[in-house]
Amino acid sequence: MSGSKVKIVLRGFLSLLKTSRKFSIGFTIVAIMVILSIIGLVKTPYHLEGWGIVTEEAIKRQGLAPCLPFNCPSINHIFGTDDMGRDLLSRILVGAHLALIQTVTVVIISITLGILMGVAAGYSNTFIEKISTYIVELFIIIPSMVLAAAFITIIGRGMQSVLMALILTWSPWYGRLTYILVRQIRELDFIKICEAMGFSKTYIVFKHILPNVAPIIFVEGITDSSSVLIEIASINFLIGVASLTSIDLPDWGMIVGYGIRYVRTFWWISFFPGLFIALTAFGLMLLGDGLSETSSPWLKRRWRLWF
Amino acid sequence: MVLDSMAVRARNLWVGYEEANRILWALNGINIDVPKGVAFCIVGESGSGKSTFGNAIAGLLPPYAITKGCLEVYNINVINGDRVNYSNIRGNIVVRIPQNPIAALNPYLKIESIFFDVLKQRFKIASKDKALEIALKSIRAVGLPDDVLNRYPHQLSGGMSQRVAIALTIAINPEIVIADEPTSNLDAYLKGATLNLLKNIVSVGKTLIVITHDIVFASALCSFIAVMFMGNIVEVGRTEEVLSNPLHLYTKELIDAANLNFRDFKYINNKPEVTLEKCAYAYRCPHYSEKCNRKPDLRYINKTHGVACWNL
Amino acid sequence: MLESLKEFINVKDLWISYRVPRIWWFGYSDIDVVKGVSFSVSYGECYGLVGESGSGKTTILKAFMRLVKPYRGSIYIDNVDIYKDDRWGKEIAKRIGYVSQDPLTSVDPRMKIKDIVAEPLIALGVDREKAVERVATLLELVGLNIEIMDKYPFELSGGMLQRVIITRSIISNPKLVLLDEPTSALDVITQAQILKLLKDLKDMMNFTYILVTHDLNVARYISNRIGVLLKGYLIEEGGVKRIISEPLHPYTKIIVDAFKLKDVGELRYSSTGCPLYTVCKYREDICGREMPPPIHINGDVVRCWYFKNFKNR
Repeated sequence: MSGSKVKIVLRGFLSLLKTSRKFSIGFTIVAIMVILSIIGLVKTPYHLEGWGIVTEEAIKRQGLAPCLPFNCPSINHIFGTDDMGRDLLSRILVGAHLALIQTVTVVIISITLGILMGVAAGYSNTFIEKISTYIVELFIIIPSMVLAAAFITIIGRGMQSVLMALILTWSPWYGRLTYILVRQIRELDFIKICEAMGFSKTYIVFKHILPNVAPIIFVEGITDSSSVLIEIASINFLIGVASLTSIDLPDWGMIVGYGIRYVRTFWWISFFPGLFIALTAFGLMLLGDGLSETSSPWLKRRWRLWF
Repeated sequence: MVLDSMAVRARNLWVGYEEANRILWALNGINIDVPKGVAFCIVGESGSGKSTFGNAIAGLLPPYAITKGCLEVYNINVINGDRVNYSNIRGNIVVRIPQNPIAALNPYLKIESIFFDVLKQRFKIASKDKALEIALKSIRAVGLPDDVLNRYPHQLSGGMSQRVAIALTIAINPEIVIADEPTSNLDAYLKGATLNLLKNIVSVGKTLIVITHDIVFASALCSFIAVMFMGNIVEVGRTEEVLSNPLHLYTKELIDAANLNFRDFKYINNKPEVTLEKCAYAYRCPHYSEKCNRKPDLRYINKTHGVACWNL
Repeated sequence: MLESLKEFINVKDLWISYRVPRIWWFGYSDIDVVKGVSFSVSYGECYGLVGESGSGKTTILKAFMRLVKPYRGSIYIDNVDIYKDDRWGKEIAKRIGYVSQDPLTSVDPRMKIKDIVAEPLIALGVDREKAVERVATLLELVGLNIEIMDKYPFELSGGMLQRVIITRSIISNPKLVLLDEPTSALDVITQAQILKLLKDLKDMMNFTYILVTHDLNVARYISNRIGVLLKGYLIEEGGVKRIISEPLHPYTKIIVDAFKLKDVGELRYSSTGCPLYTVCKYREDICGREMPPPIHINGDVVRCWYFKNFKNR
């Protein structure tokens, strides 16, 4: 059973690559970023740590002298070095996996929570519906950065505060979307017929409502992932929140933040990570757009000029 | 048929809609003449292209429509090959009564505001009194009370909204009125009322083109009838002739279905594929033969009755 | 009383209301949609409910499906009050077929045809293999190709989809099939096919139908008896041939005239007494005050003060 379903998904995916230009470009960009992140995890051209922490072993490992700070982009350092002499390319490569993993985590968890909330609100009795809509509306107003700042003060620095803040910001959005969709689907005849035939609410939710709602929410999630990425980068830029493991694992936004002071002279420190953020967000957006366009082909009709 | 008493003339008209990677042709080379001052019916099932034909005459084709051939309305060339030009006729010579009357009216405006809008656009009437006069006349002509003008569209029933739509077309005073499925969105008991209203439009000398799938309604109202199937006209002629002596098998099917007469009954199962060269009816024709691989032209057996079939 | 219990389906004095929030003030008002409707249907009969939109006919069907609860009156199917006895009511609900107006919204667009048609059997606990076999048998019976079993609803035309829905409604071998304007959304040729199919199935397998329609043509072809609804009241009931040739109630006369394509004009109904009071030719004072009770004439039912002199049989 699952073998044939995998084949169907694969075939659909390949046909999508062929037909939709947006999808193929977006997918290429994202694939490149994924490859870069894998490279970043495995091996980088230079060691991450820079001037202040260099040791004898580090020199022996690398076989190179420690880098000079504030180097322009050159053959040795393609993207230059930052204020502590660390190679920017290596830092960007390591930051790639952070950006992608954080984005994917936020989107997946928000979608799950959102669908749960939306279905619970849309398909149960009025009491649960009222409470759920109240909570959703409450959280939708709060912007993500304020929430992130609040979490950082309470919980402390670390990736977990950023992730929690973003999940709390985005799940109400998916929750409300699901709620609207569930309310619409609920009025359709086939749900009423299932109810009349005596199926339990759980059965109807899992077999009829979720399969119709989930694809729409997933596509919406992929399109929103570009915004999530930029929000994570913005939070890291402003607050400089580091990752869980080591203080110096650089998220792209953080690198931009470090370099913003020198942007007039040593522009490359902020420019290149910013470029990567923009590119990845663009790729994700194209991916999501291409996906949603195929489900509504009327968007693609070319329009003639009338005279 | 005399040459310049034709209201609408179509010569080899093709209208298609552009999809992702192909063109879906709704009209496949139509040749038809609609005389002035008559009630003309276009009958067919959904997907036959009749609504597209009505839209083509009214100038309401969507921007992604592709055209070929020639269409003339009141001797003005509106479709010529690739180019369309409806600036002279849309809204003044041809008006369409839309299918769903309730959805056709702006829900934010009172009925009288809708009338003012329409009359300002058509006759450039700026004074509200004059427009109110015309509006009252039209409302009374369709048998509605005067206070309808002060209501909003959601306060009207389905039958009343349709009368308001017809009153709007009377106010515009076009030459050709196209009624798109006038009875499908209404309850069955309103068919008689709609029949009378449309008869009144013809009686003042306008040309009425009714697009419907209800052949009984068409036979009660119209003097000429054209049967369409999959974008082609398969039979055309005076209503009495066509209904008493249907030549094309599809017309016979339609008449049998309307009378719930199940003599040669067979379930229709396959969705017909798009055919541009073959006769479109071939897939369910019992007299199918080799020559049906070429599309039959409309041949007239007498001055008004024409049929598109090689077997006749 | 005992006679009425022998019938298969009994509807007794049904009153259903909807709760509507008041527009310009707080709170709700209750609007009666079905007012005191009683009728009965025997085995293998097709009972037609004819009326315009707003007459309450769809609400009565919803009551059969247990989606709305009447505040007065009851519905008996096979002598079981479907509202009082909840467990029995649910069992019976699984053995009722439903065909509704729009074929596209009556099926889950993400399911294959064979899953859609097999679903009622799954509700009854039938094994999946056997269910699919039965689906194949029945699809052949209604004249559809077996190949469509693996297709999705959007790949079929409207007429074929409606036939699939009819198959789904009869697969659990129901005793009662509820039809809510099954042909309104279809064009003429497909309409004829669906009607013929429904009639053949009824004759072949002895189903009982309750058919809701606004088109007398449809009702005349399939139904044995018709009940005419006006604003929630069942104002006339009788054999379909008799009603079309000799309608008793003035409203029935109007409907039959409209069916013959005569212009009946705009109908406005009064809110007290008999709704037809404002346009009825035979109206008297009492018509504006009080709604007439059901009067039995030759086995048929009429609710009109015009017949008040006929003896109640």
